[in-house]
Amino acid sequence: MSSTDEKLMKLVARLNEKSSNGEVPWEPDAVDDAKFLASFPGYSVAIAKRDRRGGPPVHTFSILDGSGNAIESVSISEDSYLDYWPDANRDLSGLFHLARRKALDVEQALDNLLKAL
Amino acid sequence: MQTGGGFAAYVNGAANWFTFWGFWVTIVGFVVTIWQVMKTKSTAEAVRVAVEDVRQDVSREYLSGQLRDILDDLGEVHAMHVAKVPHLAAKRHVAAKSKLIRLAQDPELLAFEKADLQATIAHLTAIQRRVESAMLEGEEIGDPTRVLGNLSRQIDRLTGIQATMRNRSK
Repeated sequence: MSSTDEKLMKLVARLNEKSSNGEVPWEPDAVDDAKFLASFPGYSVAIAKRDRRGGPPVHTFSILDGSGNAIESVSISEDSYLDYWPDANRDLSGLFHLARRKALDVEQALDNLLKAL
Repeated sequence: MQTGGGFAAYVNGAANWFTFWGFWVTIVGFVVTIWQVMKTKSTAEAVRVAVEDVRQDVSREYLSGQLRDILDDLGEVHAMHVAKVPHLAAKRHVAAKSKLIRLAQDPELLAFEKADLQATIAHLTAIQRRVESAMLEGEEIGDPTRVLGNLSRQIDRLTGIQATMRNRSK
């Protein structure tokens, strides 16, 4: 495993950890319903889900530079495997789930619904 | 001899007197010098802080002006999409994004401002790709209200950053 792969895995692990505490500013992408972005000084990260006809969905994690262009990305689905990252599908689908909930403020919706009922 | 001895005692006494008071004058002089040096240093420091404050205010006013310029561009991009002239909007969109990319690299920006500008750049890039792809394919831009809504959100975000900048410079 290269040091870049290792850092990428570490970044996703940290995003998962921070996202589960609600500490990552995820927001919906401007044009894609199944993509969420979080921005930091100089860089953004994006997690997207693509449904495939006749196959499991593909999750793609990308890093965008200061011009909004993707400089690194990794895609994974249930039927694919990365030697250097055996849990990639679990990590990226988990991150997508957390990002979506935060970006769409699902927690607030649930609180309001529970209060209303 | 006696007279000479009296004179020597007188001179000796005077020398002791001068030595004693000379010592205290030296001490007091030293304290005054230290006080003056400290006063000068604190004045210099106060001037330095004031100059730095003014420099930051001028810099933030400049950044705020740059942001206002970008907001004008994006307002026109929005109006061009409403008027259904996407080829004109695309050109202005690219110009606004380039200015934003330059602005986001300014070292005077605070971390949260840089992150907000970065988010806007990422969203504007996504909108730009969608518009350009539709134009190249000769198709309509998907849901135009969505493009307009997203542009408005980016304009609102930049307006918020500009307000923060102006408040900080005041």
